[in-house]
Amino acid sequence: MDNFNLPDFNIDFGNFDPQEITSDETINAVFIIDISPSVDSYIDDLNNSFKEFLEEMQRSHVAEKLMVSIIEFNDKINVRTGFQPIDSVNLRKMNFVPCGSGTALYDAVLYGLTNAVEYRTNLENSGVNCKTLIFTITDGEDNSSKNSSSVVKNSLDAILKNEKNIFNFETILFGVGDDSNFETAQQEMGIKHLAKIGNTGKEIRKMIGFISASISQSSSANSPVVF
Amino acid sequence: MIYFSSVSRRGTSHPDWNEDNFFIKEMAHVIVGGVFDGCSSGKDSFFASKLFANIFKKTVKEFDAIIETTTFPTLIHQFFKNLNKAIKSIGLTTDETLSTAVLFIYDLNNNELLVKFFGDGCAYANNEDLLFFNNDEENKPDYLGYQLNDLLKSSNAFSNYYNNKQSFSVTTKDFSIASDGLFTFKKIIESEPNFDYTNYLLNDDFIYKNPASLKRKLNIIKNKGYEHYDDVTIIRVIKE
Repeated sequence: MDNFNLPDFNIDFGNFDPQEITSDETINAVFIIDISPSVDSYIDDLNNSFKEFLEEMQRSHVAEKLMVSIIEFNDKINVRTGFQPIDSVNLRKMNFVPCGSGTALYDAVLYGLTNAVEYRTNLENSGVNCKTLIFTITDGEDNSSKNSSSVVKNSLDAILKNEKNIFNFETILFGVGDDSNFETAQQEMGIKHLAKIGNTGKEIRKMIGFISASISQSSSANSPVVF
Repeated sequence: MIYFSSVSRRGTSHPDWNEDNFFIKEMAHVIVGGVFDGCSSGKDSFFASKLFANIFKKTVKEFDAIIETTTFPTLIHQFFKNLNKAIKSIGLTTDETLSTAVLFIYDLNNNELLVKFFGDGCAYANNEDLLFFNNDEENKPDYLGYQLNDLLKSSNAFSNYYNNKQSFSVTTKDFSIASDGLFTFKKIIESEPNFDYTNYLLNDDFIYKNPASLKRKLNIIKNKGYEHYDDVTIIRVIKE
């Protein structure tokens, strides 16, 4: 199995059993969401928009092949859900609450990446073709991680060196607000895309709309993942 | 319990369309279905095979509860009539109607499978020994599209045509029906070890309860360095 030099966190993410998937292709979407105290200014808009997005996806034609994993972080990492079919995500429980005392951005991305690659490998070995999209939403720079940004970058570079991942593995960092360090974080971690957005309700909805469109566009069998 | 799995994929020699199609339906006492393979040198053959599959589906729906092994020829006769009517109503030319039809009925009470071949295709029964029937008309099948008008002129004409076509019947609890694309797999990555893909597709029990089993097996075969030149369609049914 390819491990792409990813660390073993020895965490059971509780991913859905690959043998039970009744499709031969999936879209694996990972949401890595900052819940440090500073996100308080937009958390209600994020919660509302994210729930609407999940509802929309549960009703859409994409639902049968969409698997989602949701990870939240402040100075610690909490896996809200490993990869599960979108249908089984409990909307009522999907609420983000600002708390903690720091921002372990690099660790959180590394966690998300590690699980995404491991699950993808398991799926591919059992005959499921995958497209992976990793969405990271944060409003500030890292100040709590145990791992450095270069560990993330090395891992991502290794993943993208594999030919079959080139068009099927995408990463994007959404920088919310006016922190000037988003570009540095994006580049140092090797995340492919950066989108800076305001922290107004309109901007948050726009971001979620973008995520929704990206997932829908990725659902076509032969289309590469694009942002 | 009855478990179905099916797959239909475009082969590497066809740049645009998968010219195969299929239909399968479980009813109270039987399972009926068909695999249809459009002629590559015909015109819009992806449409011909899809038309055949849809008309067969419509015919099965019309017959519904009265379908059983003994009435299978009657069902096929009606299928031909419906097909002829559809072809005329939309003004298709003969070269737009060239598709094979491998039709089957499986009696759930006594586990008897009957397969009727109108063109190339194959059937497997996964018993103690793997039973295999390949109807190979060397890609020059006597396409239904050429015969429909004549064979519907009288019941004798239909009976003669029907009786002259190859059949395969067997008692089994695990069978597969496939288009001849099954024989066109080639290893494209020489460094990969040889792999018995036929056995894997038709015998192996990998996630056999999962309806995506065959689709996922094809992905795995591809990962093992094999591709199929012609379109391939397989239906597998397992009764437990």
